[in-house]
Amino acid sequence: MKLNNAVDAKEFDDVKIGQTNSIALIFTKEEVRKFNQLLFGHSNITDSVPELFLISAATSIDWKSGFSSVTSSYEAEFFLPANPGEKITIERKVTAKDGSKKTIHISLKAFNGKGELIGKGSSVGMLFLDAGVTK
Amino acid sequence: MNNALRKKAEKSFGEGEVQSYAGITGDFNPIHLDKKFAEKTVFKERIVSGALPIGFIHSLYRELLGAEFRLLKQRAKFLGPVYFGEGIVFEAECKVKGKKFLCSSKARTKQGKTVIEENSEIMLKD
Repeated sequence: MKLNNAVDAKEFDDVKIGQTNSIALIFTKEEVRKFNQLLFGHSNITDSVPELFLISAATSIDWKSGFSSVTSSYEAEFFLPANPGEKITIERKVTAKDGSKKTIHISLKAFNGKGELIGKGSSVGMLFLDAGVTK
Repeated sequence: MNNALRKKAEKSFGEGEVQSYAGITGDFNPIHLDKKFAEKTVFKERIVSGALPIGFIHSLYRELLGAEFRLLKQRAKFLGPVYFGEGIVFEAECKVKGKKFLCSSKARTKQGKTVIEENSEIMLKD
């Protein structure tokens, strides 16, 4: 899984509500096989990217972007399967943030290589301000 | 199928699984991997990557339904941390609704504290 164009934010104040970033990902068949084996205990199906793999990728964007955070909740909906080897683009938009609760609310959309919407969702991430926001 | 299918299972997650998960997904979040970092957080020690217990829930659904499935919708709340080596009790349930299944699950510590609430709408693969 290759991640490009990570969000360039180093502090909580850098994140702006409405800020949108897109991240391009490619899931290989081998990654799908390993993911299935580890998460579900089987590795025989590699024809599509598991939805949980997409969720996992989408919800780990914050810390990959420089934040120390953990996902506290998410919602996701899928319309089309994602294919291994295909470029998947995830659009990520900050919809709200709460400094007192140390949370960021994110909306997410995922598109396949044809530009079709394959899924959408939202997540709430909790920041570890006491551990230092930046890595 | 009028009645709900139910399954209960216990599982703990260890160092090997968290390391493997990080290697596969590139998710090297220090809250899962860095002891010193984790000590400074509200959790005080490292916690298991959330996808691991969610993945286990998926495998319970797969066992209940006896087939591979596509996830159409999912909502998950992480209400508390899952620590390394901690035994977690999972309860999963699926009900049929037309061509889909509505499934839900809870994960609790042995002390009875709910750490995950999850529900999914799923469809069997052809």
